[in-house]
Amino acid sequence: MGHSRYDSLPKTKRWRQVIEAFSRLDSTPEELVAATSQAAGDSLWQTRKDPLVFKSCWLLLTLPLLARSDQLDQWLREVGTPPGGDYKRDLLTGTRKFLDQAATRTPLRNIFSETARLAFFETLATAFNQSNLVLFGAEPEQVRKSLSRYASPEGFQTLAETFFRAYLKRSLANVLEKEIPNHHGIAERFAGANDTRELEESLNAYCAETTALLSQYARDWYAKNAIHRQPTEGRTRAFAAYAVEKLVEDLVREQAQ
Amino acid sequence: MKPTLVKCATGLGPYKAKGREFERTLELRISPDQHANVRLRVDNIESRIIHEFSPIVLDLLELASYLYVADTSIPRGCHDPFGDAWYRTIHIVIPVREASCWKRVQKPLEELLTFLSGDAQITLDFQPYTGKPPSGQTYIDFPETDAGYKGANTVVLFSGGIDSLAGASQEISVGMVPLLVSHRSAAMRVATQSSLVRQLQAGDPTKVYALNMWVNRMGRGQADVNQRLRSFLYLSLAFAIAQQLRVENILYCENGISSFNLPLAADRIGSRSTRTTNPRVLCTFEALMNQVLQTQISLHNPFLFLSKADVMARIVAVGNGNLIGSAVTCARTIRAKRGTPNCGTCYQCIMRRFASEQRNLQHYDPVRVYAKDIFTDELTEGEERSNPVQWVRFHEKVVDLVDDQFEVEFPETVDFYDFLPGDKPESLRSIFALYRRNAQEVLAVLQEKQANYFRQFLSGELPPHCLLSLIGQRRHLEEPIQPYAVRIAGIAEVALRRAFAATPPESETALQDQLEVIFEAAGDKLHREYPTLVFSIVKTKPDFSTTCGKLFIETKLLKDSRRRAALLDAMLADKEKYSAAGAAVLFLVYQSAAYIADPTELTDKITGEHVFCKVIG
Repeated sequence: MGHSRYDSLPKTKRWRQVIEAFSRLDSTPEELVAATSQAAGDSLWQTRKDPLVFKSCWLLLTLPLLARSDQLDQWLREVGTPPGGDYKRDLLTGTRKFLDQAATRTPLRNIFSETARLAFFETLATAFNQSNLVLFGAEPEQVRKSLSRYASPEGFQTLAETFFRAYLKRSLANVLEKEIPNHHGIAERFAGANDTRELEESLNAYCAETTALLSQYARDWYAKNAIHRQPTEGRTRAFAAYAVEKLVEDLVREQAQ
Repeated sequence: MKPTLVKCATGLGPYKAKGREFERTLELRISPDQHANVRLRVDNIESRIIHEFSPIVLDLLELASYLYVADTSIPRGCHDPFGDAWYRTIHIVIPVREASCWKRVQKPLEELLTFLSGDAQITLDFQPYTGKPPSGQTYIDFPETDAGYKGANTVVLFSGGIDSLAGASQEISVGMVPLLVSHRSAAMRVATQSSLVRQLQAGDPTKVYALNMWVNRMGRGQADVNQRLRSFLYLSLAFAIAQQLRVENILYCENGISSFNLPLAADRIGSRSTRTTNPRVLCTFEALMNQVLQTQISLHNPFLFLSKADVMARIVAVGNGNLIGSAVTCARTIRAKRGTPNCGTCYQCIMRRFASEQRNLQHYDPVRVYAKDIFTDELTEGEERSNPVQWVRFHEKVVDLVDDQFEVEFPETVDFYDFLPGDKPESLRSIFALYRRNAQEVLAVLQEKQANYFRQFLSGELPPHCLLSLIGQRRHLEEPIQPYAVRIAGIAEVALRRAFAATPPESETALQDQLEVIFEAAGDKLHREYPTLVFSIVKTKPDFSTTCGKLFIETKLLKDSRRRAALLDAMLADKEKYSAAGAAVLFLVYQSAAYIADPTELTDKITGEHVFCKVIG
């Protein structure tokens, strides 16, 4: 057992351009990332209505609010994970169940839905790490306090930026990884460890730059929609859709420059 | 992708899906139906078992068979970068004898199947059987055996691979009598499984029993070869048999790295990395089946916290090392050739090959059982290269990951954490430690291989796309350049002394001509006066260079003590130029008399990281 499935890139013109960029020994990491994001742009755009992108945003918005208002335990019970064990783990399990249920209800999905789910958990793990929460055995109060820090425009800005950066990076890496192994070796584009490291760094920088503009929007949106009024699923869905649109627009703008 | 309706038509009355549209309908009929396209046959099964199969067990076997065939009949696409076709929506309508019982577990069963297959959604619609349901005996095509499974006290799922062989071996070694349950879909693995069983029995058929279940699509090949639901079939048979024999333990043996199956790379997320023995799958299946069958059967993976190398070592430890070479691990058995049952390049073969190297078990698992030696054979573009390259990069990544980073890099841990056995935090820590330890061993194997083949690598004798060439310039392989330079310097020293014992070389060109002959005789293929390098406003060429450009060799001839300062200046200049090209440099300084009384004065000044110097003469 243990099978892993490998897919190659399609043979369409746009994807052929990506493969050609990889085949050139003098292509820069930035060119490779740009060619990939160009080819992936349309598909990324389609994900503005992806249910798991929206539900991830909804959780990033509401979990800190629930933590601040001591309603997190109630929410955990509602999603079928009554707290009682390791509180941080209970929270991760609760959010997993919540996202799984969301996926079941709206089965239209592809790799982006899966990526959104992973990006959400990456964001949560990053947030906990930044709060210096221990991996296991954190007190419930510590977990709640750690989360409630993000119940502010700046907090939501941080979470949204981390989420969309991870989402974009994982989405583009998904494509890059299909081609990198074909260009490994002596006299190939990826002759040494430095080459792949440079590509990873370039991808990180690219995604950080692209999502930096988005994070500003997230902060402003939170200030308008979650401070003086109750956040709603409808408005959050619109936020998620607009965030993805903005992400893709920024990709296109950077390529044009 | 629009949904597919799968109608399990044998025993199904008129059916119309309400309020749903389907892109396609797949109609399946199970043997012995006159129009059967699903074959379910159990070999070597005792009549008392099959006679006693309860209606719910027969439902389970048919459900599992239909699911397996449906899964392999609906394509997932292969040139779709974002996997729209991978995530299928499948609705299965199936007649059952115990509809009310199945409806009670319908939702968690659907969730399990969806997670296992990684599809967008698998839904089930249990319908009451119309007409008289077929009885169990119809599935027996082979003569009944006499063995009787007397004393069998554990069921072991047996694929004929390394991990299941280890499980069976271990059980026998502690006095258990395992019943090995296998699924067969093609004749390819039959000989392997049968041969291993015979060897495990060692002349005593009551020591271990075997039972085989044939399930496949009749009439045409698989539209999807990924078989993500195969383990559901496999486990269903094991539970059915365990219930009938009143055996309380089922072992599904798989090393931890394969079970958790953290994705090798970003393009292998979701069920692209199979969840066959993911703890979530085993744990959920165990609970569901015990509820359905009203049993208390334990389903357990004894190797969850072991690497493949650990598992192999266990086979050796119980005295069955000689069976390792007969086990077939490969995911591509369908393409296997006689004599080389393992392709050598699929994920499983790579893991096994490294594992035997990790524990120095090559004599039990010789290279000849693999169609390709990934380390030194040319690998074709695509999966043959991506598998080993991603394997190496994955281990480079995880070797240094601390526990907190693991959770950021691999959020997949959330999917199985709740289903870990024992103290969950401790179990998760053990998993991270297992991955790090295995990564250290994998990288150590690479380093050793690279050292063993370094001369061939540098002289260009290795194929350009074997694994050692593909990763030839990676970080963990940089160290062997020093022993290679030392070796070259040693050869040059001995040979030049002899060559010029009577008459010293007249010029550097004469010195280089002699070295060229020496290197060729020693089997080292080096370029002469190559490559041309541009440094600022000047161009330069090293006297010799290795084919891969990792080492430049510069010769210097000292015929006059007054040229010592000029020699040093020239060497320092060369050092800067060649280092800028990212290569190591070996200076071979030949002096026709002892102009440099203490060579260390020169070598100390010149040598540094990746700069070597040898004074000869």
